Amino acid sequence: MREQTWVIIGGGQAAAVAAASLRSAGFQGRLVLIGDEQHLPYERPPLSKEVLVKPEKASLTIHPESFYAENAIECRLGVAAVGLDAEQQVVTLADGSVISFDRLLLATGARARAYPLLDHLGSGVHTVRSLDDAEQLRGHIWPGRRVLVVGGGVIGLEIAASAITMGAEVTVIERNSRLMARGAPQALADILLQLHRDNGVRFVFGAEITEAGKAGNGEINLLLASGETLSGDLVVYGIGVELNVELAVSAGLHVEDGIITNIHGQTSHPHIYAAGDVARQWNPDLQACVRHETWGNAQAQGAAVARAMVTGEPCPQEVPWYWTDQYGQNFQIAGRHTADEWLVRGDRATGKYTLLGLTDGIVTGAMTVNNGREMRPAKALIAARGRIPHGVEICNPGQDLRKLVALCA
Amino acid sequence: MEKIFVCLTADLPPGEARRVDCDPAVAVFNLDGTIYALADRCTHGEASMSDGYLEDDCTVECPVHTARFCLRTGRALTQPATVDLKTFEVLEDGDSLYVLVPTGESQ
Ligand SMILES: Cc1cc2nc3c(=O)[nH]c(=O)nc-3n(C[C@H](O)[C@H](O)[C@H](O)COP(=O)(O)OP(=O)(O)OC[C@H]3O[C@@H](n4cnc5c(N)ncnc54)[C@H](O)[C@@H]3O)c2cc1C
Ligand code: FES
Repeated sequence: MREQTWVIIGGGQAAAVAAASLRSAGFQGRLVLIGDEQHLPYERPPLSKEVLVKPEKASLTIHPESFYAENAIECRLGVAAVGLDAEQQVVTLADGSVISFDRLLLATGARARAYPLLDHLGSGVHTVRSLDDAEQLRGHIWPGRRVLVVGGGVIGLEIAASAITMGAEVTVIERNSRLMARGAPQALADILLQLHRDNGVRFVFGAEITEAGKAGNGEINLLLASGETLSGDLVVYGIGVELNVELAVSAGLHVEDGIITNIHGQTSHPHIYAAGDVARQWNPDLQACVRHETWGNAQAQGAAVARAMVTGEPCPQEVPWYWTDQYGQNFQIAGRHTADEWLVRGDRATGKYTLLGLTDGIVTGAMTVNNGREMRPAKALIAARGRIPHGVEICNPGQDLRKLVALCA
Repeated sequence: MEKIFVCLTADLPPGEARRVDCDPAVAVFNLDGTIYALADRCTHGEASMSDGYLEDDCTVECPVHTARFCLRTGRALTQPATVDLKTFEVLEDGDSLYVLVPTGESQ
């Protein structure tokens, strides 16, 4: 029998994990991983954290270099896939080479959404999506530098925390009236706002930037609709992402805020699959296709879709979950971000506690603050759509949450 | 080898963990009556593995980014960790638990 060739496009978390999972699920044919960055796949979460603050401690490896050779994973790095012919099952690379595939996994992820008004300033304006971006930014932050962070989402806040830790003066400029409007419970937004203020970050909410200019000495000035001008030495913005869907669109795949896939991770073409930030997978519980921009999703979905490619099994559904680390504190969020009520488990004053979100009496969301060991049982509670029976002291941290979960599910 | 006191055996019931503040810190776990000792500092970051989540399949999950390690061998089983945790020998002497930490290990 002719040897099969399976190709993965994208050199990020989902791609790297999928490559390993294809092998462990038993795929023995030729396996090619195409990534347009020069680096072997690496972890992105440290880019806004350790890579800025303590690069020598940043732990970026997904698989050690030897892993790829040992598992016969052919890496084509530093070269983008520029053409995809779904009919002929052929990928064309930027260097002109052509690879025919029997199966393809698209794990092309996302890039920082561009902000043309700021980009036209040229130097002094940064985004952080890649290792190269983060290393470049690091060289521009030092004690006393005035950093303007545009966007009060997770990435903006992490960069603000890092810049403060590096001794900079930081102003966060947010269009909305609150932080993390897209992706976090209000309760977390409140906690983080306080934490950042305590560390000296200044916030400007409801801010619409109308003009951006640069003085001869390099100083950047942002004029707001309110009439206020904010000045700084550099700008870092994090205003969301744009998905790398161009190949999928050109190949005629069904794309709608992400590459649409079924529960096997299969796109509208039966031999082409998608996973990670770029994919929008069918979720039978929600009766909808959902997309997540989280490490946990790239990790779990990359592995599950790869397994599905080999075995045909459906992907298990995970409770949405992510973490953010700021000022050395760890925050984890799972499930729905809105709830009728948030129960506090533990003493907030200790800085180590869990919040459980209840909607119609059912646990639909959870948040841990420096208390990650409770996230696993909390996720189990959300997955089971658990109700808390009368008499179960769910808020008593003296009671093991795991045991309580068994009573609620 | 230095023999370092952990706690009374009775004070480490199944499902529980203890941190020993020697250098390097050691995490001691009781999984269903079997005692294991691993380096306490997660190889991926700053997390203390004694705060981790003990699983029935003889693994412990880091509380910060969920990397899983084998309690028996210290092996890093899942991302984001790729470096194994050191393991330490456990000694039960009378009613007490001890870990054996190689001398010269601590700097
Ligand atoms: C700064 C930062 C901090 C983060 N922190 C956290 C966190 O604390 N917690 C959390 O849960 N999540 C975090 N995330 C999110 C998490 O990193 C992403 O969800 C995850 O990286 C998605 O993985 P992916 O493989 O789907 O996509 P990506 O990581 O985007 O990887 C896609 C790769 O494919 C490449 N590519 C794209 N198109 C092509 C092409 N045509 N040819 C070849 N290669 C191509 C891209 O260059 C990229 O290397 C963070 C993200 C960033 C940027
Ligand atoms: S600190 Fe343990 S997994 Fe990151």
